[in-house]
Amino acid sequence: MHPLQISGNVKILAALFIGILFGFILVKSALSNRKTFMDQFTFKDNSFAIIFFISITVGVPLCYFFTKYGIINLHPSNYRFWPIVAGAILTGIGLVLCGHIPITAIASFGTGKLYSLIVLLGMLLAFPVTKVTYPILNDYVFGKPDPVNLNALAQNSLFFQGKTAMLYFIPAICLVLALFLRLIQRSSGSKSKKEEH
Amino acid sequence: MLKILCSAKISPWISGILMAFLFILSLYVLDSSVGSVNAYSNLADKAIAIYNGNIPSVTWDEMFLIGVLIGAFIAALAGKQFKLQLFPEDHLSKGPSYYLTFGIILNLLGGFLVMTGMIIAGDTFTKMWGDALGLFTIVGLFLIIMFIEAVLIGTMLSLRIEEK
Repeated sequence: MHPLQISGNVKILAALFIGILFGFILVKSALSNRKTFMDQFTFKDNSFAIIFFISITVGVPLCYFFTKYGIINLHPSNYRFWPIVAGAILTGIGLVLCGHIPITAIASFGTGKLYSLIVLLGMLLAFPVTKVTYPILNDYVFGKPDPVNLNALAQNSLFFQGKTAMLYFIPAICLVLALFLRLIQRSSGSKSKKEEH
Repeated sequence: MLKILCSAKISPWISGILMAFLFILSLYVLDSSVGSVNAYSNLADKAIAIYNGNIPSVTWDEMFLIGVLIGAFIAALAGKQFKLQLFPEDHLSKGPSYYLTFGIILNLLGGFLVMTGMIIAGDTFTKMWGDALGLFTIVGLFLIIMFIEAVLIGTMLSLRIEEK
């Protein structure tokens, strides 16, 4: 078994179909709504974290077995330690301000939220700005050596180093976290209802 | 099935399972993770080309983003959620002096910071989400830092609003 070998127009149509499914689920799960992200960061609504953790719980074992039997191939980007740290800090600040990641901003625009166009415009402005500031970024972020060889660990992944215990441990932890987040959401919800009465 | 199509919202538990299957489906069908940062960059370039009267060819990863837009539109119509909205509701409640000036700047700056962070980090959140299914350790580092920071800032801001 191996991934489908499609190309050209068939691949473009397949990508369109998968995109439609993604867009549909993003709206139906309310991830396209900026309030879902905003409420996640104050733990008022843990939907985003639950979706993420459940996808890890289900996806990690599936991904492992499909990779093992050659049905899918993983193609990780070239992530490095300091760029990841700097990028996460900037993304975290931006996420609190606008409540969107790129894909949810597109989905939000599709539901008629025209203000998402401003968010998308800000996102597109990032490309020329990072291109212009690349020499500075290269000196202070990209050029810095990694303190630990996380890159090799990431490229090889825990799967392929024989640590298959992680295959069950991480999904289990994610499931427990999702259940915990659901519990605290329900208790805070009932508390606020009691206060209203 | 029809019930799910027309419902306003599906449970986060089902959404999580569906997202996992979609990421794996994209790896099987397209043999690549979806939502890469290059797709956004190329789409912006092509939008400018269309504005200038040229008709550029579209690649599969750009078509994926167009699909997301179409899928969201279909979902909003099916769930009767489609509503043209110029400003976010939380901005509207603060009055026109906020949503016409500061609100727009916050959205623009937020979007700029999110994408700048992702360009520096190496790829978009969607791509990292897909990579997280392969247990790539470094993606976990990104998610932990981003989440803790966003929770801290978000909590501080909400406390400030409550004090006011």
